[in-house]
Amino acid sequence: MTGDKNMMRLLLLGYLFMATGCGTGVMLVTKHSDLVDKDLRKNIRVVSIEPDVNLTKGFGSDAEMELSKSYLKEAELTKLIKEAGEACQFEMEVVDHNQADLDADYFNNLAPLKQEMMLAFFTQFDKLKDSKTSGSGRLGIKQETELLDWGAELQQLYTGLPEKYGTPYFSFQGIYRVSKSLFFINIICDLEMGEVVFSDLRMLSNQPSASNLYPLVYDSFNLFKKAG
Amino acid sequence: MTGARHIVFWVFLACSCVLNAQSVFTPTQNKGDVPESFLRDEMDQTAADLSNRKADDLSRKQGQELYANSNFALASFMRSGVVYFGDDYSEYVQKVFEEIRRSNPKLSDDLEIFVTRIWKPNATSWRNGSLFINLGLLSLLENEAQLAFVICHEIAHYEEEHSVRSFRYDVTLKRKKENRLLKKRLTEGEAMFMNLQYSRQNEAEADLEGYKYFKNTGYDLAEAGNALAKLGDIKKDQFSAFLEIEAFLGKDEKKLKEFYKDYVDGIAKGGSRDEEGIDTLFSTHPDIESRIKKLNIGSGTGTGKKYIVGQTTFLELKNRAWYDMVFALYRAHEYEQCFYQCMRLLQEDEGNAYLEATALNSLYWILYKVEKQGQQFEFGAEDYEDIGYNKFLYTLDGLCGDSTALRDFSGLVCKATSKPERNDELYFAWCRLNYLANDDTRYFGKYLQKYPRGMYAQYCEKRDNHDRR
Repeated sequence: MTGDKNMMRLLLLGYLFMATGCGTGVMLVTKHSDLVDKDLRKNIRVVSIEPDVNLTKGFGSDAEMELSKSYLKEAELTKLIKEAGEACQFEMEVVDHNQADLDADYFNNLAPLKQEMMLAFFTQFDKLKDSKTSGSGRLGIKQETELLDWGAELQQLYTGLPEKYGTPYFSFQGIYRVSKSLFFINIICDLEMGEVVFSDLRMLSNQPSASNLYPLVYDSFNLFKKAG
Repeated sequence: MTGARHIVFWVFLACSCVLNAQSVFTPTQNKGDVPESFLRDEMDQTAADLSNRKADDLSRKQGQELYANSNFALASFMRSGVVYFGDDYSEYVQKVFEEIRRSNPKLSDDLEIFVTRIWKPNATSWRNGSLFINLGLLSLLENEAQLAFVICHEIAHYEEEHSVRSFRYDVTLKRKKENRLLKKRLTEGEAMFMNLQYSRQNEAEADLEGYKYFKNTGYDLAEAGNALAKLGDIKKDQFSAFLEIEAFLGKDEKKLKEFYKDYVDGIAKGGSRDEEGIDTLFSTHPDIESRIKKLNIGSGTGTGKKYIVGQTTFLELKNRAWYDMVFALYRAHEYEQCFYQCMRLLQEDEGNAYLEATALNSLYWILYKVEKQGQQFEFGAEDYEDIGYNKFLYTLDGLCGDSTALRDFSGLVCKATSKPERNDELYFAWCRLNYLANDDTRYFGKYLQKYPRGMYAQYCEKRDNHDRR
């Protein structure tokens, strides 16, 4: 019944093992190469769809405690995304059930788009080219930047959304536990291009809290701004 | 005789109208206000469940585990966009459900029913009384009475508290597996088989209890057995229907001729697996014949109605469900199966622009994966567990390694009608496909002559604007 959700987790799991297994680092940022060496991207509108936090270790007897923690962190992350995005001079719209009741458009378009972003990104990711390593990250973790000569292509089912929301940029952020590690992910797509244009995947060294999540989310959006 | 001809004529006319209506098919959308069940807070619900917990039912710790897991999973499912609301499917299924409730006034008030976009032919019942009917099941059932029986079966799962009982049984098995004080602990395999056996017992019980609810309604009781028989056919037939591939073929595609021959041979040898013994052993459900037998339907029961809410609505929705399922398959990236269903539906609805465009779009993504990622779709036998063995899907998978064969394949749908230029989306999909197969100029040139301001032109314009920004 939760097949789609489980599929996402499986894809994420598979991908993360691939990323960590190759020993290239724990942070991976991908940008569409078309976007490099252009002006800074700022004052644009970005729609963030239903951030996810899942800290559970499985379906064990501590489920309630872990799920409750995830629930509280999810509300926290939602708030931080808006604040950090705006601090990077983006106009942020976070569509999330913690912020306001969801409407029919969310169920018809945004929820499927979120799934599409994840599916497209994780199933098309393994063809990266022209990669370069940008050295140690500002947050004290090793990071690697990958430049793609093409972005993960999305289905042509969501072309009406840019007009409706006044922006081609739609994004998804989440924190997931994979094995013993926690990861933060930020995927941004451009629906006019029909591609994933930016993605950022980082391993968290500590349990997520407001104080350590904010710089992380800010840094991620800042990279997107500079990628523009 | 004249009367019979009239009937045939009107039936033909009605079918044509329904099918023609699908040529301009737009996927079913949710409408109106979002129901409260979609917005229910999982934390509040878990707290409420814990405070209402019966002391002799579950320990607090077990309650915390069961309620939290099920409420969070349900909330995530409801927010995933796969459950319909405010649409024609939901409205119709709700009416059938109300009919059952009217005949069975003692049913719990917590029961709610929904339709999902999921293509797998299944229905499910959750701990809190939420019942889900998948689109894939709706498209396969033959009449309203069969749908009513399926709903009764799911109601029985809830009323008999099967999810709570299964959870408790699972906890017991876990103890027997992990308790070091026991002389003989259960192995993983033993626990799995015991779990499956318990699940089959629950299914058998849901059949019998569901049949009791069904008996109280005015529906034809024989349809309970027919519904089960239909469910039994699913595994063998859902993706093994005979395709008139030759009707889509041109003269030059040798590989496709071979493909077709291979496919026909596969069907002739019996396209479905004949491993019922093994299937039954690993199945969560008992075998269909024994399920029907246990219902003890008897003779003289075919006096009830096949339809109470409405025959026309049921048939319209059943037909529409196939098209919505094609959309759901495409959206879920199930491209081979989407392509297969498009081809199958095109046999009945030749020239349907939506199906042709979706078939081509599916082929585009199949080829995209080969071209851009140098990968074939790699499916093992286990991927086909739910859909049955299918020669067509295996062969299509094999063709993915050969881009020439796939390019030939791309011409299938358009050659069948010889009029690709009549529809922008269809032509656009065909061009994209040929673009991937490195033969872009000829088709794009023709396309742009026909549609200078069409989808491709708009796409280019957006790209240019984007680059300028």
